[in-house]
Amino acid sequence: MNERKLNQLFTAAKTETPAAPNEGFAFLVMQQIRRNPKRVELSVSDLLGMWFPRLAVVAAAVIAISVISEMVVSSNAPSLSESAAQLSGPLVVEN
Amino acid sequence: MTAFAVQPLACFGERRADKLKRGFQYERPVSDDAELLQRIRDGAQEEFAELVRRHQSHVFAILYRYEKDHHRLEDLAQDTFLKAWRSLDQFDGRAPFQHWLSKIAVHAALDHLRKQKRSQKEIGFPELGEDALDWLHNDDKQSELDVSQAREILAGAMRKLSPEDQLVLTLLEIEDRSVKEISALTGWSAVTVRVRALRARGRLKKALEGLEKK
Repeated sequence: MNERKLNQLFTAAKTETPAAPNEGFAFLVMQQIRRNPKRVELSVSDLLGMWFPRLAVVAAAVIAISVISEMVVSSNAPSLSESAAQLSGPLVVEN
Repeated sequence: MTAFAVQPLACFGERRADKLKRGFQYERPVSDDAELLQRIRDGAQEEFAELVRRHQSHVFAILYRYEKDHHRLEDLAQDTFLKAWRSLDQFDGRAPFQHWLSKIAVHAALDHLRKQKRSQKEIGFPELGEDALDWLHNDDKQSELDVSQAREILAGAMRKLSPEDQLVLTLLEIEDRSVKEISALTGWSAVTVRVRALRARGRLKKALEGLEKK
């Protein structure tokens, strides 16, 4: 089976006209829905899935803001080791 | 002064809200799917029929590639719309409704092919006419085959393949969809689609060669 023949088969399938729905098709669907109109309620994971890209962007923004604010605050404030040394200094002298 | 200016507006707002509650808003025909979906979500269940009428031809066109029998095709299309109805709240409106519905139809088709495969133990090729057999055995470039016979040969060979192979070849080679589109419809990665399509094409060729040898 060569490529030309295979493509000939695909071309024949492409030109096939699909069957059209009957006139009352929508009515049949609605009949089934009226019998059982229940819809699937959204679970927490569904909601998370739906909101995923937006939630991810918001979470990333919150993390970035926290990191930046922490860097800004810590650059102005004295370091923890310096503060600890200051606090422990008098105690060391007393002893 | 501010209170006087606001009060008439508030009254107008109330009157409009009353009208909406009484359902006057539903008298106007809707051209937009999103608006129709909102009405359905608000409780206008019967409006779903309009959505079905709008998209039924599209759904039939997708499913017809996998099921030619009209009754079974209609059942399959009904299943597709019922699934859409049940999970309507999961449609977030980021893509057009038709894309979302196409995904459901493609998955319904895949489930259908899997069921068919399970129920058929050994699938034989259909009885082919002399012209079809001649065409299969002959490598002459001039040889032409009747369109209906070509479809019959392809359908017979496709039935030999796995449901996933049938689906990927139909979407790629017959419906001319891009890898990206197939990936969105099936949920498979683009690499999976490419690899699956390549292998499926090879397997289809083998199935057709099996028919040639007969």
